Amino acid sequence: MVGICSIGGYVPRYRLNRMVVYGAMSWLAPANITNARGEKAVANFDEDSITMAVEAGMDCMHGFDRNDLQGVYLATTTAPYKERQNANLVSGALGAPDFIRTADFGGSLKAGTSALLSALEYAAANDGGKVMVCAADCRLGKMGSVQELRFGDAGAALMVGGDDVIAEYKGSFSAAHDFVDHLRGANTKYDRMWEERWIRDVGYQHFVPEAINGLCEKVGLSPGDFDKILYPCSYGGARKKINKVMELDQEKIVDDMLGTVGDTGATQPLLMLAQTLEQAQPGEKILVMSFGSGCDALFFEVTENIKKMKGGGVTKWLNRRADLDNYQKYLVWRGIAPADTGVRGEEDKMTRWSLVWREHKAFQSLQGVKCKKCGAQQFPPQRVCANPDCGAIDEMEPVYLADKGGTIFSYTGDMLAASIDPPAVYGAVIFNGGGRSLFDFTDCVIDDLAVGKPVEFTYRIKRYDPRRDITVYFWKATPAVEEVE
Amino acid sequence: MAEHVHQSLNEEIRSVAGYYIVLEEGVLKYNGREVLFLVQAAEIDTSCCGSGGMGYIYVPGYLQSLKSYKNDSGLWVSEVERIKDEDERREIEGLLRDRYPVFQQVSFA
Amino acid sequence: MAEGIRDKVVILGMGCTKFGERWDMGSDDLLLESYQECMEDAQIEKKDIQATWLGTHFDEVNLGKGGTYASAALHLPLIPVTRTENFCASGTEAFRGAAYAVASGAYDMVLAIGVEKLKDTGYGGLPDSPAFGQEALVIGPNATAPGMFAQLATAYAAKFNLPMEKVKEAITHVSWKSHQNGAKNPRAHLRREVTKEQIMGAPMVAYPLGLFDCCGVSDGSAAAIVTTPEIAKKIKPNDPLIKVKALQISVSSGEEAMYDKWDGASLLTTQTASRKAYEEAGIKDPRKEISMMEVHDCFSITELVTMENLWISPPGKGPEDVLNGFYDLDGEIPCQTDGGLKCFGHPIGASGLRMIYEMYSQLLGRWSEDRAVKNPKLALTHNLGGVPNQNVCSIAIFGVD
Repeated sequence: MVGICSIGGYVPRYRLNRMVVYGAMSWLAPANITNARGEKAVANFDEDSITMAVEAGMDCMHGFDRNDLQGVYLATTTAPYKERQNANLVSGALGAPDFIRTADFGGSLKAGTSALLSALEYAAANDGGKVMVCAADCRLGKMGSVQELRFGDAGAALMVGGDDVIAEYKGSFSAAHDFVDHLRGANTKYDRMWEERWIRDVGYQHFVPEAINGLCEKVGLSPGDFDKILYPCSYGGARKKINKVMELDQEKIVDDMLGTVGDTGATQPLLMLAQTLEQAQPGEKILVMSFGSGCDALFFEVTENIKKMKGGGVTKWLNRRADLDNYQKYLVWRGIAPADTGVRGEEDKMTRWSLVWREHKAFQSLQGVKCKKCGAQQFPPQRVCANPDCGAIDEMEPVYLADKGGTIFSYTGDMLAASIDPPAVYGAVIFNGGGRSLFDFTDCVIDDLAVGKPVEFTYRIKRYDPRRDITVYFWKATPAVEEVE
Repeated sequence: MAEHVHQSLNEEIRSVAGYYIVLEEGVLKYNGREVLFLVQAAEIDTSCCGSGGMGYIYVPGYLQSLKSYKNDSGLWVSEVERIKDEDERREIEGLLRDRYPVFQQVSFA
Repeated sequence: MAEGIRDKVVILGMGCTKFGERWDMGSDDLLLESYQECMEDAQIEKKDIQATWLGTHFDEVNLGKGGTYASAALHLPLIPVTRTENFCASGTEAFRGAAYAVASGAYDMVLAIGVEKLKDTGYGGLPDSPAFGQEALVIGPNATAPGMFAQLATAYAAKFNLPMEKVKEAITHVSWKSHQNGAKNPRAHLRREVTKEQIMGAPMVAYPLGLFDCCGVSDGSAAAIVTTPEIAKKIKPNDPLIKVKALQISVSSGEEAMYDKWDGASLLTTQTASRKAYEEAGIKDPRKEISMMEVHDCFSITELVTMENLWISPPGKGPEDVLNGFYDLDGEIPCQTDGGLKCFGHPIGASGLRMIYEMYSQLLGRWSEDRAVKNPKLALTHNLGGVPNQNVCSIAIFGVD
């Protein structure tokens, strides 16, 4: 059998109250009041689809050996690169082996489930070989739009394989329909949508039942046989109609987190599935589907292994939150409104690809070294041991540091460092296992920190080069996120 | 007991890295006592390490006597009691931040 | 067997421009200003100069690279001009090059000159440059010097179990004392006395460092002519000789940044370079023998910690000495007698030489009574470049015989 072995989630820390957005834009679009309830998750200035996918993937990897991965698939409709394998950035950050399959899935909001299906097919054809599927979307709507209010940013990850499967894959149904409810051209930044009533009535209300019925027919079940049914649909009214027509038990319809996270695009079905599996019981039958240019619907059955599940989840990320009470910050962070970064901000920083390739293990995977002579762990990788009493040359073995975490040795809040979110917080971190290096801290305020406090490493945007459209990534430190009991 | 020397308002107090000015002085009522505070703005425009600036509130302490005498330079001097207690500092900071929400820093002498 | 530099080299003359925002001066103008004063003081002519060492760090908005353009600015007569650079110790490195040239017997009359023109960037602060290497552009934090030195302050307070209040009191005194001295100095950029209340009322830049604890950007240049004691005696038979007693530099090994031993509260390089300098100069008890100092007060905490790292204040006792006025102008070891970086700002290639200029002038008793150190015998300059966990420290000791 093949199925899901592990789950991971990621919801950005900042939450923007929809009434704050509405308060800023109601003069233009007063009708948006109907979309202005709850809050949406907003990626930090140093986050994007890649970083969120990595976070979810690392969450999913807990307790597993990254050297067992045979593939990393990334699903997103907001990839930073048209050409430069986005999934490679994710697999590098996860510390996956070099000789694996990587692929980017995109093009519609069913990219997440498409990636999941492909991964399951790989596992089935390759003796249960493990594939990590990560999804993350960071979509934008114009100011005053419905999309701006509805969309949320998040990442989700599922590890697929044949060992110790926690949810067995039992079949799927797919449809390809060029039903253009939303679109973005190759060079378009903002989502475009057609009339909402049409999307609701002709789209969701037709295609969701089509998919559920289609899957049921294929696997010989009826909708009522499922314990949990997951489908994306941010139209509350349409949901009610679909549930009624399909005679679906309210209890079994999984919350789409619109009020706490938002419509997360390609991530949505996988995020909902991760949250469902966090609380699932053995024997439960789960139907999960996507909707976008058609759909994929998948049937999973939870196994006994769910009781000793490793990996991560969604709840702890939901609970780790901070208010982004400033709409303009969101606009500047997402590049929607131009901000003055001064003459200094115009200074050019070239990315040198020969150097990046030479150092790619250190940059991408936070790979350091450990001295075979004296055992000292060090970063960045050294050929000469930094231990003044050792100094051995070329006696190093590589160490993947990204998932080791560390503790704070020293830190500061700097009002002077150019920052899109002052004060800039940074300091020296001692890696668990030894060695220390300086890191920017992110997703925290200075009062969250103390010398000795545990931190985790998080993959973030280091800088964006607007002249050349290059996003540069590196690792930062962030206070360790508490597990939910 | 500490002394607080009242600087002239809106006059640049220059350091090699930048300057600050006192915009206004105020008194906050807290727990039956009076807290002296200064609303100030700083611009760090000649620092070696970048440029910045901020609005901030500076709290010399609880007011014992306001402008009780003039010093040798002709500036008014008040007597204040420094605020040391962490809880008091936190509460006073909260009140000041409510009153001046766009200022970046509240600091205590 | 190497003997060190002690008593082999003499400073024949020095010059120093006014430091500040010299909008009207380019690098060449600044070089000329310090060069002219220096030559007049040395009582020699251009044709007597046999070699030049040039100290300058930033070439992004300055003189360009190499020695060519400095030579062209002063129209030096086809002599060697060697550019040296070692972050903020660049000025002292230029002096070292010149001194070793004379001590080796290769040359008799050498010019050491430093310059930095920083105000053409169009923005506050040092020019944006990959000064820390290409790798650092990806893996280095978005840090500034105040943030890095702020961590030195918190580590120092923690190590010696001092309340931060006490440390703040001491560093406030450090800045106040320097401003008192700088106010009297016509060459200083900032010539205003500042009260302790004004220092305390300033905003925090990176806790616990406030506005007055930080250094500033400036344009400036300083120069020295060095020669052998014999030649100096011939040119200035009636003047005391200012001899170089020690020149030492220590550069971080990488252990502070990467290995888990350094406590973050002191500068290993300062401790190492000063120890070697005292040995070279034959100094057994620096606290008793050193008459005055110019240290790298980029941040007031740096000056405080340096007092201990120079083995003058005992560990943890720096604040006590500072607050007792030990380092004031009328104290046992006056420090920053010209106002230091706090009043001059920091044109990187020039600062090391400016420090030597002040010590040289004091040893010769050239300043009026309100600025002078009484009967100085041995002077120390300390020049630090980089950040607490990765830096270069230079120590120079001079004496009057």
